[in-house]
Amino acid sequence: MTLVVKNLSKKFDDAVILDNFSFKMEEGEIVALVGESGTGKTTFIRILNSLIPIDQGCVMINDAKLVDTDENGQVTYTSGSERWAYDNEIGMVFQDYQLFPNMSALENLMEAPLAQKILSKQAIREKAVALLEQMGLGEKINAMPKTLSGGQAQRVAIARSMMLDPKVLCFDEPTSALDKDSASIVGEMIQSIAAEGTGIIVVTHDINFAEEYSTRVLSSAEFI
Amino acid sequence: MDLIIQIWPSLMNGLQTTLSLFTIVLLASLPLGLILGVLRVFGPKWLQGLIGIYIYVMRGTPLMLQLMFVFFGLPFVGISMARFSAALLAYILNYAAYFAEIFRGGINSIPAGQFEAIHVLQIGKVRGFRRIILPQVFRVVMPSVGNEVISLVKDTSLVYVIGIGELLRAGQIAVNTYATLVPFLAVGVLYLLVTGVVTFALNKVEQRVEY
Repeated sequence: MTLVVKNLSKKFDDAVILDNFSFKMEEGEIVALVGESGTGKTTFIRILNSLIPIDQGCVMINDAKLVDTDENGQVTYTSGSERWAYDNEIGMVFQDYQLFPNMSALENLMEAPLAQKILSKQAIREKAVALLEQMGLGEKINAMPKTLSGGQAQRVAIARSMMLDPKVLCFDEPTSALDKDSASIVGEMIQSIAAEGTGIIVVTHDINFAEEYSTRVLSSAEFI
Repeated sequence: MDLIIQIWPSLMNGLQTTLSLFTIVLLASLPLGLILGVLRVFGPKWLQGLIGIYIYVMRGTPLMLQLMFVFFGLPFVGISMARFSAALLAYILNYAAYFAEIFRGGINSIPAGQFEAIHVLQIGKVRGFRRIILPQVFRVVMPSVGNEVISLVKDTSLVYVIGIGELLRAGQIAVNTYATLVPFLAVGVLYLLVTGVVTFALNKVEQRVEY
């Protein structure tokens, strides 16, 4: 697996966030993205997850392309099966988790694979239960999100994003709301996900966390 | 007591009209309001604008005027209908507008992150809306919808302007006939009974949409 970002540019009004930025990540890498607030760390992973459109550049995972720009500067996002191939390779864990509050932990995990019908419902359920147990949430399988602590909700969110087996997984400030112990649990979890071959990008303010758990630290100062 | 027994049949007759008007209007205007509310948020710009104008007109003019317009006005352009149908049309259009605004507010109250999570997890817009957004919207809008539903019970009394005899009208006639205010008292108690049942049902629904 290789994530390739070429000549990426993004402006918000007059603020240049990314200027001709190129980036490459191999499988198993954990890239910690650090830098001051407002320098586009989160914007970058939101671009990778197609939540924000770009002005210029190219983004692809292996052969699956999200967006490309031709010689005339015409930006084209892929669609249909090509786009599906890309979207399938990437996942994201939101800073505030964004669990679905009307669904239990288990249902949160099952919803995306159920929608895609890649496995039988029974197989999806088994996979979800196994993931939750692996995350130490065996007793919280049927818990509603509002009853979970921050650390537990974070782990459910991580498990949910892993249900689709992404090759690239992005984390937005995974430790910002957690105490030191919960943060180290998340750090170890990220390392074990990477050990399975997933490439990981972690946006973080916590430079200690970045140095302890990542394989490479990238500063958003390099975006411009 | 004799008086109550005497006016009972006409009150029941009126109550029946009130209840059927209420039920049909509610069953039609709620789904219509939901569809309009969704289109007002997610529809094409021109449709959003059109629905905006429709809501402005429906909320900006008295329901009684709308009622008279449909029954007395539309025949001038060749559309005439029975009194009860005219009443249904006017009420459904009016209430759907209010419900549309309530649903629009409910949809807008859902954090953008929920839509983003649906996108990132590739759940699909339609499925995500149905299974994740809508249950949250229902929970948010229930108190406001409940208010409108209770209002509707009482608003049905306006149909007297197009000559439909409902509960309040039946009471009014009895008051005039027997020169006593007792029928009004009876009418008040009947309205309270109806809104009591409706309130009970609304509480049940509120519990069901809770998670």
